[in-house]
Parts: sequence; C-alpha cells; structure tokens
Amino acid sequence: MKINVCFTDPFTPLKDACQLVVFKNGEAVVPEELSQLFLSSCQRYAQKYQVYLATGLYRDGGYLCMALFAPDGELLGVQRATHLNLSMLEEVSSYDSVDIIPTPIGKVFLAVDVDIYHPEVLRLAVFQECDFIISSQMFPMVDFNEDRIFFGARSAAVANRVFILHTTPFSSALICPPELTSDGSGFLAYPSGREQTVEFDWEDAAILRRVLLDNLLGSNCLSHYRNILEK
Amino acid sequence: MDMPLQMSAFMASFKVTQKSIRKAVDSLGIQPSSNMGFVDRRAVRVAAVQYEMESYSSLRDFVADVNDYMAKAVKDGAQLVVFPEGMGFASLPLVPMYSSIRSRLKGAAQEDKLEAMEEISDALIDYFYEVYSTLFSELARAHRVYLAAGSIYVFEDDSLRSRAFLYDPSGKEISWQDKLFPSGEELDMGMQGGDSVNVAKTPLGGIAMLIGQDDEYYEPFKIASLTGADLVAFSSAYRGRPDKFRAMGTIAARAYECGLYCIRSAMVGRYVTGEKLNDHAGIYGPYASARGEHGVITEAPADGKGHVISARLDLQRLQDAMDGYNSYSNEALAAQYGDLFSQDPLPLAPSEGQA
Repeated sequence: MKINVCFTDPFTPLKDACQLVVFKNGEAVVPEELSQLFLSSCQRYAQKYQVYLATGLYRDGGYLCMALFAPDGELLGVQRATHLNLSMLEEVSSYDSVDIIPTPIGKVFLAVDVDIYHPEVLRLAVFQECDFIISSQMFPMVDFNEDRIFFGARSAAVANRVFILHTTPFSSALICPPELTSDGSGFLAYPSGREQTVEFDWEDAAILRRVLLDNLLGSNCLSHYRNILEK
Repeated sequence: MDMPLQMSAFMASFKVTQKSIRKAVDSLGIQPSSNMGFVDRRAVRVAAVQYEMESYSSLRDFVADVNDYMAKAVKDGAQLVVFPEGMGFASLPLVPMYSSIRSRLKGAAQEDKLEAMEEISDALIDYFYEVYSTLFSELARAHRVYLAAGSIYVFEDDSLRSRAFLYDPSGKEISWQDKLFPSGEELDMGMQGGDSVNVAKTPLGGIAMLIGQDDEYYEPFKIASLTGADLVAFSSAYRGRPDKFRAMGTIAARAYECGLYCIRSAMVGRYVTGEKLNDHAGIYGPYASARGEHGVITEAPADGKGHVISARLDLQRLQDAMDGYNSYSNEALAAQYGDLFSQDPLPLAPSEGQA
C-alpha cells in the first residue's frame, strides 16, 4: 500500500497532499497540564486536513505517550513508553505492553522515545504483524547526533526489515531495509530539518520481514533465549 | 562420492599430518609471549584478523602465513586473537589435486557449487579438522595467548554444523560455538543451526563466539550478554555486495544494544567457492566506549588485503559507562518477547521448509 507521509513541525499548514502526517517534537515533551489541549488540537488538525496524524510526545496519566488520529478525528490508539530515558525516571512510569494500531493504511506501531533503542520492543511489534513503525524521539541539542539515528531507527529498520518513520525535534527521516534503497543506506529520505513529504509502500518490506521471522522461528537458539529470560 | 575427491582425501591424510603440522610450527622458532603475564579488566588487548585467502603451495607456506597474522597480533600485545569464518577451508589448497577441485568450483553454476562444496566437506571434513585443530592449538600454545580460531564445518549427530573453537594459552580447546543462523546456502547443504550460546569464563573476561549471519540478529548477543560475556569473538566471511553501512547496522548495533565489545574478524580475497569477499575486520564497543565514531573502536581498511587490527579494551566501562538512552531495562516486556517462543503453535508459524 502506497502512502504519502509528511513530516512537519506541529500544526504547520500542509502544503503537499498526503495521507499521513507525523509531527516532529518541539523543544520539550508536551507537559501533563497541556496534554488534553494538545490532543484536541491534534484532533482538529487531522479533521481539517483529512489526514492520519501521529502526534509528537506528550505526558498523560504519569506516562510518556504518543497518539494516532484518523482523518475524521477519531483517536485510533495511544502507545505509552515501555522504556525510559534515565533522565525521566522520576517523572514518568514505564508501560508493559506493545499495542499495534490497526488502521486502513496498515497496522501501525508507535515507538515512543527511547523504545526505538530496545530490540525486544520492535520484535514484539513485528511479531504482532505491524506493517510500519512511527518513531518519535526527544533530544536536547547537546545529545543529538547521527549516531543516535544509526543505532536507533536505522538499526531497527535493518534488524526488523521494516519501514520506520522517524522524527526528533531536529530531524525527520524515512528509513527502510537497506536492500530497498539504491545506495544501500536504508534512507528513503535522509534525516533533514526541513518539512518533507515522501511516498513509501510498506509492502515492499513484507517479504524480507517474512524471511527474517521464518529464520527466527526456525532457529534452535530461541528456546535458550527464553530460558535465560525466565531465569 | 566423487573419485578424485576420495583420492584427494586419502592422499591428504598422508601428506598433512599432526606431526607434520607440529614440525612446521616448531620450525618457525616462535618465542612464547608474555602478553598474558599481566591481566587487567581495564586493559584487555584484543586483535581481529582480516585474513586473505591464498593458494598455498606447501604446508610450510600455509603455517608460516597463518603465523604471520598471529605474530603481528601478539607483537601488538594481543591477549586474544580472533580469526574469521571459514578458516577451516584455508588449508584446501594443500590438498592433492586441488587444481581439479578449484576448476570444478570456478565458474560453476550456484547449484553445482553447492553440490561440490557439500562433496568437498563430506570427503575432506576429517582432514580440515585435523589441520585446523592442530595448527591453532599449536599456535595458541606457542604464542601463549587465547585464540578464537574462526569456524570450520563439522559433522555431529549426522548433521553438518559450522563451529568455532576457542583455545587457551596452553593450546587446550576450552569452548566451541555452532553458527546459530546458517546462510541460505548452508541450509540447502543441510546445515543445522546451533541451539545455545556458550560463554567461556577466562581471566580476560567472558568470551562468546558468534559466526557469520548471527550478527543480523540481536538475540544471540543478548544471550551472550545475559550469560556473562564481555567480549564477542565474531568470525565473518561476508559474501554480499560491498556495503559501507553494513557494520553499523549489524555488529556495531549489537555492541550498542547488548553492552558488549565485539571483535570482528573477516575473510577477504577469493572464497573457496570462487566469490570475491567484500569485508573488513573491526572492533566495536557500546556507544559510550567509542562516542562519536558509530561505536567503532578501530577498523581494517576495506582493501581486500590481509591485515591485523588490535585495541585495548576497558571491560569495566561496560558496567560504568551508562548511556541514558538505552540503559533502562523493562524485564516484564523482555519476558513477553521470550514467552513468544514457548507458545504452541508458535506465533506467525514458519512457512514450509523452515523449522
């Protein structure tokens, strides 16, 4: 399924036609006291432009969250962060479930902040047959560099053979299995600070992912992995 | 079995023996190193070999060439030296009638190549193992260092496996590891993947060995980390297209995710099947150990030539150098992933021909 996705700063008027908008984060996570206002504004934006909308990061109920809205404004799903940046430990709690959001444009997983660095989170998502992942990260400028994208979103796209729509306060990128890019980089859209609209077809990665899952499920070492975790 | 191969195997067993290998090693006059004389977790010296496949004309040349890599690593102070995937095949050119084997492999269609490799492995497996185990045990003992000798094909319980061995400074074999995720070609040859990750507890730290495509999966590295590994001696012989980003998406990412140092050896030149190997050796660590360099501590040039690279690693930093972005652990969630593999039937059951 071909999807046009636009990465933009929050609430910026849309210039290009697209089905999906992913908001970049602002300088800080939307605080608890503003979260309802933020969500209702997101809802109106989705309705106004008739787009699916992945919000940036906000705090709600003591969790770090991200939400997905439908073009009619319906809240399709919310994912809470399952892992936390150590600097946030005293402010929010972690959540213990990976929830896939089924939509007419595919099954979506929202990777909240540092969840993108934790392989088991992404594995749980692909084993629940998610079609693509939207990853939103928060960084102070001092911590932001390309390694953070290589070891997070790009590594996750390579390891799970999945499209990842990735945003930070400073960049957005569309990342996929390297085999699907002519330069082998895995970047269908390189990290850029500017608004960008890109077309992708998540079905292009489906066969590659099937091979990966078959290899994993056919491996003898996974029961060892389970036993180690049980201990 | 192919008659010339059978003949080759028979003749090889006379031409190259444990005795002749030991004699060839002795003739090099290797002086034991003192590299293991002082061991400190804050300064473990490791080396990765980028080994260039050669067409040796004699056992002496072969032993001397392998030793050149060892000697370079040991001179750099290495306490652990890592050789690449497929080292077991490095002695193939010494086999009588090698030229007829090579011409059969050279230019053959992929299916014929697989069939030929299967027959070669079958006919020469005992020869390969004898050369490999004797040579690397002798070199570890002669240089007095730990040696992860790369992989070799072995038969166990009637199934083919790609197995790496670890030798201690006395030359004793102290650990082994089967490749966990055989390549498509190896699966076609009937290879079985391993079922566990073995970690050798040594004075240098916990050492795990992983092989080839295992670096595309985070699970083996996580198992290694959870069972006490500090170092992963990784043996590679990458045969895909040249890919300057590959290490960042595989081995460097595994080092970051799992908090390990990964010593990645590589095979270059022409593989036994004739393909050009596009690879390079490297030593990688968690982000905080090599900040700003994609986790790369050092890498060999990707020039298709043989090299030895070495680095001094601070194993204490694996515990001390926390990265706030990936250090949080959600054990309940990790267990959920592990639980997937105890379900019956498995989730997304494998398609036909797998498992």
